Amino acid sequence: MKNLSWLTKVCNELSFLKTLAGVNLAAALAYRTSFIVQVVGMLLNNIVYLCFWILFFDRFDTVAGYEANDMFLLFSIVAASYGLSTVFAGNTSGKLAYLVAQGRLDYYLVLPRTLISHIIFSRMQLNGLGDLLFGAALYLTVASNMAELATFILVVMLSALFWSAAMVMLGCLAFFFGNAQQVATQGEGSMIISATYPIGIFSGTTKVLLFTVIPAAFVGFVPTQVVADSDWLLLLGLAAAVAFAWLFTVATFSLGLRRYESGSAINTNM
Amino acid sequence: MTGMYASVRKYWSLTSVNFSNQLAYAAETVSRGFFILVILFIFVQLWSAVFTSQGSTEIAGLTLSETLWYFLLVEVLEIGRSKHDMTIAEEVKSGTIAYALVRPYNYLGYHFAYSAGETIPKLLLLAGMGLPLILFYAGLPPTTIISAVAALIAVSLALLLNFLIYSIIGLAAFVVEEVGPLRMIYQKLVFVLGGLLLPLDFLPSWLYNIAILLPFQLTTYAPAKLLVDFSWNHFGLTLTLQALWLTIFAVLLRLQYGSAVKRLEVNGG
Repeated sequence: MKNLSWLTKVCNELSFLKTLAGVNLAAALAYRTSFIVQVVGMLLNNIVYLCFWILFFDRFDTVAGYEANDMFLLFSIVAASYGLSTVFAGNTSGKLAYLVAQGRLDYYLVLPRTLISHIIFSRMQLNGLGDLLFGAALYLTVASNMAELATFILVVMLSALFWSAAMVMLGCLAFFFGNAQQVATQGEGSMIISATYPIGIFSGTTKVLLFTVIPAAFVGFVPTQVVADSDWLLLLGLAAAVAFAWLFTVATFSLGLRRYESGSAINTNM
Repeated sequence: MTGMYASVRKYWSLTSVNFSNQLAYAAETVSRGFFILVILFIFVQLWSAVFTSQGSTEIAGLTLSETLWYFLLVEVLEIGRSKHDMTIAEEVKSGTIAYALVRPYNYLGYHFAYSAGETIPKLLLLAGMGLPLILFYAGLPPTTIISAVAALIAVSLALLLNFLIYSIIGLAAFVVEEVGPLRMIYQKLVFVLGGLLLPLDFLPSWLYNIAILLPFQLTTYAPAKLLVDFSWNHFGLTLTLQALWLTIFAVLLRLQYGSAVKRLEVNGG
């Protein structure tokens, strides 16, 4: 009976998040031109970086053990997972830090919903759709078989969960340091840029940082290895890292919430 | 003569006001500069790996040290450039440009002077932040007094060219309202054809021959290349192309500004 009640809660939560995503999408489509511009803009942005890597590998066949196809696989996983994360859970990182610093969590606190998921799913970052489409399309250029495609989809979902945890964590900095919007945004940028380069170019100490302080390896190098080598043990490791990242993030969020100070501003969420 | 002196003082005061603003919020300015360290660190690692894997001390005429100093200058120029196009676009969209136009200064002159007050300290700060990192990995700059002076001249003209191009983008708000995509397209062209991600020397020769004639490289690649690998030929070509593109964009901006002011409709009070 207790198990059933737990299951009902999860189903209710998922149904709520689905409705939230539907409402966000409908709101986004109301401004169709802006929607198209953001998606196409991000596609274009990624295409430019792809051009860079094409030109790079045209000149240098290999760098740090990576060839062009390895780089495309890495790029596709990072883009697709980041896109999947931000397109649904868009209220993270700098945006979450802003809400915390401005005391704008009050709106969410009074509603009978799971706080953390309600906050982060309340905003969609439309340009994330451009990343997601680009990542998927790029992967298809290097895909080898259906089993690998299934692994790709799985690791993209796991990496997206890791992205969300990391970006909520960045937003949580505002609980402890006040105005952390700038730091959170730069942290997000640093993680993106660190994830999109071959890990082999970094030295030992930097590699340790990429698995800890700026955990870009869990959204770039690790998922890429899982797909490239069909390494199931590493897949389990990635899943464990995602679980740990979320436990750590939720604990930090709960701790931070005790320090939260309500704002006196009246705001309406539309 | 007195009028000209007064005019210079007027615009100089705009520059110094914004310069003071940057110093007043120094901590924020420094925190914004943190990102350049991440980018430069990754480029140091990437290009060190490339030179190691190639097993040579030179690629397309550039050593590793020259390549790293090159990236310091192009990143400083790109990250530190003026963002006045966003202000112009916002003023056009909100209609506040109408108030700016009746003030006793030239609208574009105001933006030039005001953005200079932001750009100069920002460029110095970014260079100061990136310098220790590049010194540590690349050693002393591979430069001479002549190449430094040549690069400085090219940087000054590059900033002017950037101002003209981004003013055109900002004023495009009169026609397209949302200028974000235009800005992004231009930036991305600078990324690839301006040598921001890859020095043009590393491009295939057919693409190099095209890119070298376009304006994108004149704001990033050209000054940086002069700093690390000076030649009189390249200096002459850079100055000629900068003069040519400055003339073209100045004419375009003049025409666009004249037409934009005529289109201005002021509603309400």
